Amino acid sequence: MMQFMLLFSRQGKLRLQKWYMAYPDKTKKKIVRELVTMVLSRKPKMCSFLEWKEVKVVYKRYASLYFCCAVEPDDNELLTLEIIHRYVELLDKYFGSVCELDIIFNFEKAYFMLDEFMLGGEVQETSKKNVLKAIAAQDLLQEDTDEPKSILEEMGFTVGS
Amino acid sequence: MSDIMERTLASLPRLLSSSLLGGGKGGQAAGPRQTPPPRGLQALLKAVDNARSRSEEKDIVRKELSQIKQQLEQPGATAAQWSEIFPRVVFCSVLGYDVSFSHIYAIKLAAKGKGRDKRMGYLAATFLLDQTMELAILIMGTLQQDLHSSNIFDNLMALSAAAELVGSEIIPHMLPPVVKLLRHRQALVREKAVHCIQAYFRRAPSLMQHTLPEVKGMLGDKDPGVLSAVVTLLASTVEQNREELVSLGLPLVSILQQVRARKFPSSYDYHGIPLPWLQILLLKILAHLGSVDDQVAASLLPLLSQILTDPNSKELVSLAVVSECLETIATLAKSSGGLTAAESNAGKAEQLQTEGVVVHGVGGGALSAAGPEELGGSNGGGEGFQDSGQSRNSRQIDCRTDQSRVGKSGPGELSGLNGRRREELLTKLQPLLLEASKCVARFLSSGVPNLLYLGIRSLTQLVSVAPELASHHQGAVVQCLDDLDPVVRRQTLNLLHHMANPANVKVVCAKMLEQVQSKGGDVGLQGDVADMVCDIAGRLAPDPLWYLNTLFLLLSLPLEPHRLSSLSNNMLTFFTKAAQDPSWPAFPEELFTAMVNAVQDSDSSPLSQFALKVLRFVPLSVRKAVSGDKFLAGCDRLLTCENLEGKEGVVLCVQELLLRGCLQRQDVIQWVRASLERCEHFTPRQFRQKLKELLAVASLHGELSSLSTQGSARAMDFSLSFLDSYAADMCHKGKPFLKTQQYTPELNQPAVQEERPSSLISLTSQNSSSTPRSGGSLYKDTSLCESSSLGVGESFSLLSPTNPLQGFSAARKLWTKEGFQGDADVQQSNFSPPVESTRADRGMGSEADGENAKPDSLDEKEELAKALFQGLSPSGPLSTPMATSSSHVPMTTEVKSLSSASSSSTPFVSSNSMTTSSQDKLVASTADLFPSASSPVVTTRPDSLAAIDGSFQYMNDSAAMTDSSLFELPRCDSGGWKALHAGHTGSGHNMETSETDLQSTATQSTATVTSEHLASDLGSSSNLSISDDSLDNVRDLSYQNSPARKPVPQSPGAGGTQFESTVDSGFPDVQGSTYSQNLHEQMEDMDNSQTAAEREGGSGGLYDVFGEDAGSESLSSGLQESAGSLYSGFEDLTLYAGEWEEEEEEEEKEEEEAGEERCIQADGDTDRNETQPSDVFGDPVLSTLPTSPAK
Repeated sequence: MMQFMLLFSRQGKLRLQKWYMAYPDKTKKKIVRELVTMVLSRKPKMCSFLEWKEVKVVYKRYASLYFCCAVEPDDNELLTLEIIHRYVELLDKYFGSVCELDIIFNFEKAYFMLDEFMLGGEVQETSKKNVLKAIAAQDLLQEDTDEPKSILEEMGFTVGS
Repeated sequence: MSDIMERTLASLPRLLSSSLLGGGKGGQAAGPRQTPPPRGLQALLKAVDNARSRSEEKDIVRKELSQIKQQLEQPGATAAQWSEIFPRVVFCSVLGYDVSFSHIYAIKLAAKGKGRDKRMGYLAATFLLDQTMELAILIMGTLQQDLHSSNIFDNLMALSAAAELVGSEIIPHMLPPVVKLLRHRQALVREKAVHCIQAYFRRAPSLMQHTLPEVKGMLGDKDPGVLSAVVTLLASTVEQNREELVSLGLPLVSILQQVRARKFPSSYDYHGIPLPWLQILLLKILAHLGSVDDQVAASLLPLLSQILTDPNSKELVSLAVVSECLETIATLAKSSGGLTAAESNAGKAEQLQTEGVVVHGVGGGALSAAGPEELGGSNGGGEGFQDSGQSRNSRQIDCRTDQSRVGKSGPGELSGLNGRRREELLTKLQPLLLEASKCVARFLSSGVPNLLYLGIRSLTQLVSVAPELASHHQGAVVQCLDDLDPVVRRQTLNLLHHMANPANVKVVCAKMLEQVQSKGGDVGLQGDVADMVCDIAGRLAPDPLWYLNTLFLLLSLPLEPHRLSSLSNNMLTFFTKAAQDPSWPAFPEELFTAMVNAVQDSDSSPLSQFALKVLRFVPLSVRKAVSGDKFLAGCDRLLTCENLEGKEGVVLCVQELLLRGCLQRQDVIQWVRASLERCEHFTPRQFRQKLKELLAVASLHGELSSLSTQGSARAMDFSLSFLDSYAADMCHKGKPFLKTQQYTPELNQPAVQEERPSSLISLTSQNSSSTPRSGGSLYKDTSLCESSSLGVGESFSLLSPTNPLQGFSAARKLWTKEGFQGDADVQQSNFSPPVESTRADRGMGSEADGENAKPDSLDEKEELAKALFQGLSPSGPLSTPMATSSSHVPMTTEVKSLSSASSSSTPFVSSNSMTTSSQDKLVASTADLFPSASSPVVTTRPDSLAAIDGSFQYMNDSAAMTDSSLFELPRCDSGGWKALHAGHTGSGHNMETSETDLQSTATQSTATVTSEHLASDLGSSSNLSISDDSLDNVRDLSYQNSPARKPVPQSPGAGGTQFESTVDSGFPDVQGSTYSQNLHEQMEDMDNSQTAAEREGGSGGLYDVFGEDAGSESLSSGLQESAGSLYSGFEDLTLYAGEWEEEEEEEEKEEEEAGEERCIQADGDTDRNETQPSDVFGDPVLSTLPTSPAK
């Protein structure tokens, strides 16, 4: 099970954080600080895994962004790397060649994506197509549900009831 | 669901073209690329990005947050407005600012918003809250509502939020709607519901058990997403529910088969690999189920081999599957009983293993007799008191010893497994393991850092079940040890940890330490290495010296405090154990030296803290002088910068050493006074009180130790070998049991009772004047021991006057078989130099190997020295792996300091005969190391050696103890003291030792053992220090006795009488009264001295000296114990005496013959002794005595 996921820039600026375990705010800050320093100090030729305290940290760098996950020690590290990769793929598909700015300015969308992809620390939906579909369907939602109602109902949804 | 989604996507262009959403707020849904972020957020982001400093950013954010707060609090704000605000709130929160004011609005937004606003509300709520927050309960109503909603988007959002925000107490309330959604018609909803239940399973497994059947039923779901969700749930609970899930084993195997056969939609492929997440989860579950059910395991094996040999496993994710497969194989192999030796993974001590074997043997026997039905029962019985780790060990051993029983008698198994099938499984696993090893080789040779890491990790798992596999990857592993990546190195160390066995443990530990020392490494790595080294060193240490060295290196690392304390506790346990192990001689000596040195050298480092602990708590058999000024200086340093606890530890340690006779009282008194002055106002009263107590002890101790240096240093033979002759004598006279009335008048009236008036204390305080016959036995003892250990008899030739000897001989007439012959010898010895008298004394008795012993012991010493310093010198084989380690320094420097001290013959060093003996030891042991050692030391050597020989022989010749009666008191004392001490230290083993010794005294083998023991102590020092112990003991007894039983200590003799009565109750025999009288005499004296001490020091807290160590032992009960142990010893002796008698007689005759010859040569030795420069013994205490040359 994933404990938390962090996205931070090469400068160490935190762009996104998702915690699947309840930590006090202070601990969170401490963890972020320590982990960011540690990951940034790693050299490119080193492996993507870190054993850190009680967790195993798996990180990967995409362009200027570091994706960093903490998983339990008996979780599969390579698979966690694939989780990161799949998430990046999803973002890429959604934003169309994703870049750091997309995540900065539309970070809530990155969260929505993550919530569709993972739930409670486990990968929820492994099919890329399904995740994208679900996100697209949600994006169609209106705060004012009058107009899309007919179409959604036509599609089988019963929005607003 | 997917078809709905497809339709949604298909309808998207239509939606866009019809600009259904165009009328919305900026057409957000037209595509994320085109979506400009809300203006407020954009501005904030830019402002923060442009902030030049942290404070500027703070200002911006603070301003923003107050603005946000205003907007949120505005009455009549719509959900849409809030929805626009929350991204900014989340952003500020990510930046690390406190946004707790907004929590309630997030909850409100989730409740009152619709569609996208609700989504934003839930996002903010899950982001800002967590299940532990009290506020989270406010969202439960909304969650309930949305879970019951007929709108699937509401359901989906609520399920996502419910998985994160519902704490374990609320789960029961939230569960019904979630369970209901398990049967929702939309696959996506079912999937999320299963995930939500999975999250609850993690949080409160006990509350969730009833949902398991329903979830299990969902394995048949058509949708791969739901199936994956169910398998995820099963994987997270399989460890707790193996029995319940074991029936799912075969269906799961078939699912895995279908996945491998690509029976699922290709949309679930990931980089061409079908459902890798599902595969890995299935492997995880099946590893667990396969280890309890071999049908599952058997059907899984072909799949495993298929995965391992998959030709197109180039993709990273397929390697993930492969690595999971390796783990599964390792788990299966482990559960099927381990294929090879258990040592690799047997984390438990060996005793546990043997225990397991014993249990097993019983179980197996029952099995073969009663048939398979009984098996479960017997296994269950075995399991009842074994934890799983143990049972695993025992099973592994079983495997080795009896292959046919492997499957049957595994107590860890849940079901009665078919042994044959299990065996088949084992044979089938063999090739798989080899295949796995090949896979590891591929990983290791890939050159990709990630794969390298994985390879090492997988190898670690494999090695723990099949250690021989490690040998296939030697090169790669060694290379990984020097990898650039610390993570890989760390993993490799972990591998080494699992590979460690008695043969390679030294190299392994050396490598580990090298990693932390040479490559720096962070605190975490150091801690891990410390743990690992501690583990394997404690488990596999071939010898304690090496252990000592290794763990010293660990202590020198900058470890975290909690780790240090656990480390030192670990070491203490080890040392306490090792000190009891007779197969590891000379260890306490080395330990002692090292510890003393550690205190001297280091500044309040953990090492010195630890050293203090060891010196206090570990039962060291060593009695050896400490270079006092340096040691105390070290203690001073500790006092200046340690916490109170540490300070008290220092004081208690000094006290302990003082009581053991390892420190000079003068030094201690000076030191305490200095410390008291220094810390007068700044330290708590407790600490000062401790110091004062120490002062009192020291001043009291001084009186006693002056006795020991001049007169009453009694040779303590812990084997109580003096009783041999007594017992033999008694038996010889045909009186197996002696009555008190018969012997008391004869024995004690002349020797003890008459002489009572001149008490011990007078001897103690005034040496030269103490010539009366009183305490003749004590004098005699003293002269013998002193002469033998000092090597020169001048100082106490006067102190062993004629009268005592006459008393002594009188007593001996009664007590020994040798009778008058011995007496004559002794009297003769009054005119010859004392050492000669010693010799003669011994010669008369049994000169077992007096002459031979001398060169022997010399050689022995040299060898011992070599052995001692082997592990410390860089060239020593022990330390070759850590030639650069710093731990060698302490030992050598100590030798250096001691040698320099002794060569300069400072008053301190030479003040004490024990120091002389340490000189001897030094000479012997450092002759090679320090050729420059000055000549005075060298000249003392032969004489001292001769003396040591003497003392050795004297101590060990149990059969020839002609003067045993005279030794009786002190010796029994010492036994009692031991018992007491055992009570004090709480270890209890000392008492056993003394009892054992008592029982086996008369056998010659004991003498040998004792001599070995003494040899390991380098002999000479033991005499005096032990006698010191006995003195301490006597004093202790008096301490314990008088205040406890006698409210007015000023009345002399009262305590003694009390004591007598106590002892009497334990001694109905003649011994009892003898001892009691002797003791009485001493007690009286001690009482006096103690009274003085009490007046002087106000030592109400003196009990703390021992109370500290003991914790709970009541002093008087300790006394009783000592009496009891003594008594039991005598009983045994009397019983066995008859058996020994004949043997002894023969031995004694032989020894007598041999002894007379050697006596002459021994005289030659003592002649040389006399020529020794007296300044070596220019001891302040002795020099105050009116000593006159023996000639």
